[in-house]
Amino acid sequence: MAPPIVPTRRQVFAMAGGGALVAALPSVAEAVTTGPVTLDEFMELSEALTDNEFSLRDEVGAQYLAALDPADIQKLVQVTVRAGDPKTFNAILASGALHDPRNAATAQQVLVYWYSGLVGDRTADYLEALAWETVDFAAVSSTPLGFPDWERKPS
Amino acid sequence: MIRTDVVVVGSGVAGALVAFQLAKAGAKVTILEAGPPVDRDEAVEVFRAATAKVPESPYPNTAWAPHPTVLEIGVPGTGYFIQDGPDPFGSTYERIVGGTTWHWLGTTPRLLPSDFRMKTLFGVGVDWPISYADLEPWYVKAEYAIGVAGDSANDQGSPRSKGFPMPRVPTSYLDSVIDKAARTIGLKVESTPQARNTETFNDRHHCVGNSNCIPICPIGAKYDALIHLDQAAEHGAKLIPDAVVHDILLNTDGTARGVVYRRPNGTDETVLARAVVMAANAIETPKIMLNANGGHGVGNSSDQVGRNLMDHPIQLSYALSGQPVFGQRGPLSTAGIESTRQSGRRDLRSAFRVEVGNDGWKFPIGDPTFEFTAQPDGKPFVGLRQGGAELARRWRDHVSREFRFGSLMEQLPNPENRIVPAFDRRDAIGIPRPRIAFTIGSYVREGMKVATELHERLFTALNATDRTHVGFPFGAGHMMGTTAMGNDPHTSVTDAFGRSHDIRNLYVAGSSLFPTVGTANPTLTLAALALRTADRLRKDLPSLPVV
Repeated sequence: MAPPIVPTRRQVFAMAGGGALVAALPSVAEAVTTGPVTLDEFMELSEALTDNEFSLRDEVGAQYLAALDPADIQKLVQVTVRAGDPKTFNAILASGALHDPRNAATAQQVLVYWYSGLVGDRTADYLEALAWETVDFAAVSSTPLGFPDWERKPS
Repeated sequence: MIRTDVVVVGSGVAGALVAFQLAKAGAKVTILEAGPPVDRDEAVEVFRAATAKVPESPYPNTAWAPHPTVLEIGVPGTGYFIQDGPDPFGSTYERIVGGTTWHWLGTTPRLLPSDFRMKTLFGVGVDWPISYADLEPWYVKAEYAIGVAGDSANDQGSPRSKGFPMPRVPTSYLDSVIDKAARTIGLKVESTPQARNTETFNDRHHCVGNSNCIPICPIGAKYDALIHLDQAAEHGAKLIPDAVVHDILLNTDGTARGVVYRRPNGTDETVLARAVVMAANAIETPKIMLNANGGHGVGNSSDQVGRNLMDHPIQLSYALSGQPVFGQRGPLSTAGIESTRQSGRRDLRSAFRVEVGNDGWKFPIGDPTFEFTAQPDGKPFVGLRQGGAELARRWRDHVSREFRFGSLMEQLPNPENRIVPAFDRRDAIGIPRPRIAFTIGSYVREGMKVATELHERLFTALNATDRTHVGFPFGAGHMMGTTAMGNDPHTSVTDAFGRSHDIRNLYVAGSSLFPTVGTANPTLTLAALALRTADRLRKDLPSLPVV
């Protein structure tokens, strides 16, 4: 099957080179206000929950999205990405979206996925799981650190 | 049917060393390995894809050569072992070409001279039929064969006639923090001898800190038996994988005639040999010996085959240091506390060696990816209303302060700790599985109490929080005893060279020979013994039966 040619929301951002041009385009958030959560929406939510500090891959995110309860993730996306599109975790927190325990639990599960790289009984991503990416003084197990870097205090 | 001079059962370090030495001496050698060969790169990918990063992760079980796994070991009714208790036997191993050297840590201290004389010095256990001085030259040969990196200026209580073949592995920053704290309470952390390359050795690259010695070194910087299997092959030895030995054939005069192995499809093949070397580890070797001869066993006039199963039960303790120690970097352990091995109260309780881990909480909890999902309290690290950069910062800080101690207890021989073939519980190709009766015993439990107290003092010296002392012993992966060597044929299985008292052309190589186990990780000692046995067999071979 040929890949879809419709640019994603983030690709549109990248192509446009910034918000000014995007303002002239139809808003994806406006265009998709109900219905199942798209991968783009899930990735935007994921980036906000992690403060845009990491390079999160779509093919991994797709596995996490598929593993979530559709109603739960839609409920969370509805009050975040589809409602003001907060860009940081604190913005989501400030919006009150996580006052709802169900939304908080869903957000927690999204973070557990990205940090652990584990989904169900399999590994979606080990080498770029955030539990390793955030530990900047170490290398992911099974990848080289360098001899004899372990002797020194990390800078 | 195959005819050979020497058939070696098992392709781990003991079997590989014996095979290489005999092949190099000109003998026709056949090595039989129950399991399949392993492709290192593929195994690394299997490890990365595994959800639980345990020692067996890269090595999937096969139907014809199943092996125990840590995920099943403590769960009654599951796994490869039939556990009769009262305590679970907690150690596992691989059944693959190269054996458990694929997933061993690589720690290679020598035994202490006193370890050979437990009965004489402390009134417990038994004395070995050889002394430290007898084995010392073989320790040197073993260190040079497998490639040990160590501090030649520090013998750690085991006198040396020659330095290590490689400079020591640099200790970790974590070790230096622990050492500084330990010295405030009169202890010190010392560099550990390791079969890990600090320069090119045996045509293998030096360690570059992949921090994954267990379960698999991606570059082979840690010794594994493939080195000597390859060298044996270069001298003409033939390795047959997926060959599950289950019988030892006897001649009418009682000598060994060869072995029978079963293929994965259930068919049997015979290998006739002038000498049989059992090197299948301290569970599989006695299982085969007891299963042989129609289930009547061979080489067991002493009734000691399978008895005196021992481990180095581990008191595991873990905490968060008051300051970052930056674990998860480099070899999984590079140092330990050695003074506790020389306890003066070995009449009452286990001496032990304190292993300092560089692997954070991997041992007690799991890989950081798993740990994030389940902290010691079972809950995810992230709370319901946490996230963003602050979560990343908190996690980084948490991991940077993780550390653990594992104190390995000396366990005494107990004839009731026993492995026998479970004739009523067979594997997929009809071979009995191991049935194990095992008790940790008060001697070990008293040692664990002392270790816990010492760990707690160290925790205090480190201003540690979140302290946990695991309430049960972990297996060390050190299967020992079960075909003990000795001078008396009534109380031991082999002589001091690993030759069966009953069958003059049946030899045993491996840690199953240990009469007692001391506090040193066993691989170097079993390698030294294997070299010594190989030398004896080379000299014996001209006088052994012709096939």
